[in-house]
Amino acid sequence: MKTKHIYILFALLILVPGCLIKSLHPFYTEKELVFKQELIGNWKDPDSGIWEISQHKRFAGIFKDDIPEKAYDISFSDKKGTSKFVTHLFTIDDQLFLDFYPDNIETGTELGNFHFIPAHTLAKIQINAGKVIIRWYNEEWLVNLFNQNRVRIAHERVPYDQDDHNRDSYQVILTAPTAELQKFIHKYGNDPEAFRKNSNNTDYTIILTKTGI
Amino acid sequence: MIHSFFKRLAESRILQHLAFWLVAFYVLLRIFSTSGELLKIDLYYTLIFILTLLPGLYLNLLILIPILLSRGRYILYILLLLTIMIITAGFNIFTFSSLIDFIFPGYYFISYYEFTDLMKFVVALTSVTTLLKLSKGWFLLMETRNQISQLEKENVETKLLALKSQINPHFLFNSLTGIYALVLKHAPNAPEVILRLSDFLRYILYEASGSSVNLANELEAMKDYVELQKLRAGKQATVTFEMEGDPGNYRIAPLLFLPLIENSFKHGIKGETGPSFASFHFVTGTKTITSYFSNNKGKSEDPAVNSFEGIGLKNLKNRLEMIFPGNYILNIDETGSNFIVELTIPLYE
Repeated sequence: MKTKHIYILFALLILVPGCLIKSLHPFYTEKELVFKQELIGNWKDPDSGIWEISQHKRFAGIFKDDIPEKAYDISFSDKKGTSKFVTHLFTIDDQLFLDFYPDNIETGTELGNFHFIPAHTLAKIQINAGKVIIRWYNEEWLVNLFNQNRVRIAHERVPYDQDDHNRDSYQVILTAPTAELQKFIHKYGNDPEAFRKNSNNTDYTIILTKTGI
Repeated sequence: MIHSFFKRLAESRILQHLAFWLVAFYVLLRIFSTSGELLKIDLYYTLIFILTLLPGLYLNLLILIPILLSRGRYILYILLLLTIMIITAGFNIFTFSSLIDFIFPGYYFISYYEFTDLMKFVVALTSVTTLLKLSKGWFLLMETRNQISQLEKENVETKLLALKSQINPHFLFNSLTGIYALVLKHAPNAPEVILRLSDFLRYILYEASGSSVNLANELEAMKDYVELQKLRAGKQATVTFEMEGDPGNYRIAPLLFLPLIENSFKHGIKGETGPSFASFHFVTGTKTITSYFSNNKGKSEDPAVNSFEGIGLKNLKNRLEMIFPGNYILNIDETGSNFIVELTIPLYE
């Protein structure tokens, strides 16, 4: 199994065109975490994808109740299958962000599972009148900045395919520590160019509407 | 070529600083390189990073160290240094948080280091630059001590030379012989010549032993010496001694002119059997005196001895370099059958 599959799988599962900004380190620390009860429930996106969001609970022992945490379990399903994430809601400069992290990766074999390195991805969200608006950060924007030597943050460039020798097309994996990632979000998190776009250059958004609790 | 580069480096303060910052730039660039390669963005970052630290570092080097540390005001020095280091680290954070977007628009920088990490950089660079400055000061101190020791040695040598002049048996014998001849002839100027010898010997014994003497007295002593030398110069020798300007209260190192006058008689007048000349001209200006010594070359002299590179002249050059380093003019001109020496030195009050 190749490492690229995790990202392809990840992209397919959440139905985002193109790629997401990935980081080895989380985008949040305990200090920025928030928990909003209104996120809990079942949601539907315009492409009929189902988002089941519940509070994440930490296993406390066989004879004890699990401990609820400031985190969400998200189960995303569409006609191709289901994938699960542990997601953290956090604020930077009073804006809400979601850090997605795959809950488990099943490739069918244990050997296959060993070949995947999970990554954090980042989305900016708004919760308005029973709707959740998700805007994904655009990896292409970051890749271009790196190719043009205009951004300085610790990262690695990894080819999507081992046969690909064009470095400019390599994916970017951020390796900067959380503190640096947060400074970057604080400073450039509202840059309009940083978000994924539709073909008509409008921001690509996923709007979730609630279907039940 | 390499030797001349290092010589220039050792002499030029600006080159030393440039060399230090080039090395610091390279070291920091390697530390800051995010991808293991030397990228243009890392060059920009390192450059701006160093520029933000420079004001604080040079405040320490150019103001705090000379004004406070070198005067023993340690507590105030440490307090101000700490304040400057904190401001420097803060300025670095401010630069990369805000200012950088105006310096490099379209580039994406953040302040990568926390305050405590930045303080480590600032403390390290401050320590290195301070130690370099102090070690440079220590070397200068050693050099000054060596110079003082050399001056003291020269002073002793000068005193010895002065003593040697006092008891120069040739000079004394010739002077006395000349006076004896004058007395035999009942020459009317015999008492005056005896007085001159007496004045000159008193000057050498009691006045010229100090580090400085009154210029008027020095010139008067030289005049006495010339007059005494004239006794043995012979009738065909033309000797002139002229003074211009007002010596006032100016002071001068003693016996600087004596070797030059001595040389004129020793290698010019003495070595000539026919007509000869020696001319001494002193012009006192504002805080300087220019003296001209000219004489014919003695025909019977050995060319090697006749050279102005005698021991007396060499000692004079050493003394001039020690007393007025780079601040005097000594021109020795050998034209045809004449020697002309011009010496300009500063005077002090």
